[in-house]
Amino acid sequence: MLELDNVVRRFGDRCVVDHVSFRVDEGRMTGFVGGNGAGKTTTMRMIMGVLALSGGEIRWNGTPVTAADRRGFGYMPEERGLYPKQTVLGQLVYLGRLRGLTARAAERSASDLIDRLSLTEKRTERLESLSLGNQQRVQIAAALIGEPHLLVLDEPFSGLDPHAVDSMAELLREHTDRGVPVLFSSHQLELVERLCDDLVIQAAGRTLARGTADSLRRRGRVRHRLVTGGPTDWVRGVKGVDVITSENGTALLELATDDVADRLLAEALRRGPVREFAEIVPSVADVFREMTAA
Amino acid sequence: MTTLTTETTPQPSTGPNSDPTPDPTPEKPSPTMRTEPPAPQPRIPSAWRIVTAREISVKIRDRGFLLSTLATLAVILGAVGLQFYIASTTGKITVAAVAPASSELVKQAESLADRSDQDIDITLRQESSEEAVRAAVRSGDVDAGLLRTPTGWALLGDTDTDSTAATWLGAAVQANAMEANATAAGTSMADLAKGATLQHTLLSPDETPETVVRMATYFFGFLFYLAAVLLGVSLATSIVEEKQNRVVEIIASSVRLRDLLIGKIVGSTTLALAQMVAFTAAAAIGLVAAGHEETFGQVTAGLGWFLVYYVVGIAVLACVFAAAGAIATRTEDIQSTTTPVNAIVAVVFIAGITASGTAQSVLSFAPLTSTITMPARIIAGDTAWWEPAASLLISLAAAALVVLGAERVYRRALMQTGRKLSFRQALKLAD
Repeated sequence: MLELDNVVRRFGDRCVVDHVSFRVDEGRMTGFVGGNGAGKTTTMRMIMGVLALSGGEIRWNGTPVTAADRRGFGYMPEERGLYPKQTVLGQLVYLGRLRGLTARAAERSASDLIDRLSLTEKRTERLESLSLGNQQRVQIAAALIGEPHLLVLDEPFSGLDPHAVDSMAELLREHTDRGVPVLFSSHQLELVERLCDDLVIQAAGRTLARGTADSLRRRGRVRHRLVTGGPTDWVRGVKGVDVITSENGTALLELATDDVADRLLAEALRRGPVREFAEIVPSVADVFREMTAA
Repeated sequence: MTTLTTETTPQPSTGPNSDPTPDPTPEKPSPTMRTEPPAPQPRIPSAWRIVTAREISVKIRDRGFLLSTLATLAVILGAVGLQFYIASTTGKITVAAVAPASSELVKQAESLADRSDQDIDITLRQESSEEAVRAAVRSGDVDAGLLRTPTGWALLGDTDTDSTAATWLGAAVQANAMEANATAAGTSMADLAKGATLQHTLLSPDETPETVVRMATYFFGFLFYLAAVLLGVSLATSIVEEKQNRVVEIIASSVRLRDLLIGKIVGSTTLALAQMVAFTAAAAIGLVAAGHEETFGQVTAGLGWFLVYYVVGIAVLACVFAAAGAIATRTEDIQSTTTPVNAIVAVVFIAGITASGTAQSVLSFAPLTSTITMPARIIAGDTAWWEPAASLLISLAAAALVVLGAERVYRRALMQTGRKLSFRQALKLAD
């Protein structure tokens, strides 16, 4: 389990990451969302030890994270790049060995990943001779080599076509199924909503919200739609109901408390047939817009 | 709709920083939860050795490196060949002459040269007239012309006077004239030369001659300079490689940057030294083959000390070049960041080979300059036992300090992808 506890990062006078706290649990896919300049990349660089912390603490399984811990973390940086003149296999083995694998273990892990990512025919080719899509796969392999204990992926889905997104998601799911915590950043909110178990929403260096996708959606204004056989103008008279629109037997409402729903439904049924009474939960994207607009 | 597993009550989206406490998310009861300690620690070589191994294996497969090495070897072998050619032609001249007495003079010139350990060979070409001699000289068929004049002899050249002919024919003419003049004055050459011999006595015949020390100093000073040329840009470029292709973040999250720098320094230095060995071996073979065994022997007389200082000096130099690479962001910056280092190397080279007396003693303790000056002092025999040791320690300490400084600069310049930094700016940045 990775924990960030009031992590701060300043560049000169500018505070880029401002007391950020969240955690990435075993077997959970945690999405890290926020607009440009939210401090996502800086936060991830601090997790990986590429940047030092100005304050706060990062813990791995309860103790402050060490260089040895980080050697067991898989990382895909925002700025992609490997050794263009080295072969696919050669550089994966090298990166594996720097991560502390023996020569043989690195070789085995690299070969497995190459096969898994359908790069078998390219294993002895130089990276620069590969297509961009294949280079991206090698980049993924570089993050996954040596069976990491934690994955930190900065915008892993950017630039991928829908098929590649699916196979990447599947690959990440394999890791969470094995209990590996995965943290990835993205600004594609729909994608994050679809894939993630947990979410951390960050803006301007601060954590705005964190929790499961569902709990976050419920932080937004939940509305109700009521469709009846007759007119719906009567809803304006019900206590605790804020009418947003009401026409042609369809009303969009915001209810003050949950028990208002019961009273409202009872009243509607008393007045005639009810075709639909449904909760409209906003999407994560809606919540995100609402929060960052505030 | 999934069940709500995290926060018990939805918090209103108030100030984002209102809740800095860790997330109260309960542990997910997961059967696959892993509690094993992170990062396997099998017995593996230290990270810098892995970096060094990659550095060398990539470099020796690099076409540019191979081509430049072969090209330099070719230039050296070419220079050796030229030596051979020059050695085989110098001292061999053809002289055109008319008078029969000239053959006597040529023989005399050759024997005089022989007595001075000079190997010359004058071929005499008899011509029918003075005109023919002039024509032969003008056409370039002969190197010089020799004519009898009423007062003595005249040496003809077309545009230049041939120096071999001028020296040794001149000596022969002089000897002949003095012999004749002595006889005319009623004495002999032997009497005239009595007491004209200068005795040579060396007070310290066992110590290394100063000329040899000087020669070795020049030789190693030059090798040091050559190493700087071979090593400098290639090491700085290799240091900047990871930043240029942006793999640096992955590397920085796996190993200490110090290990990366040391690995690269050791790798590049090893290769540069291997190149130096190849080049000097080619040159040495050339020297021996061209018959300069003596020079070779003199230069290698103090080789032991020079080698020790040379290797340490190159290591210090490599660290300085690594710092120059650490500050650069892209290979385009290398040119400007290595300029001050190249200037230092030039100053070290010149100061090292020219310094003497107190200046030399002082420089023999300074890093880099000690590479050339301390061995010179050792060979000259004017050092106390502790001086070489102290000088080496200072160099090694300087190398360590420079590496640590380079690591700081590298770490701080790591994320500055947009611009090139000055050393001062880089040191001011936070980690």
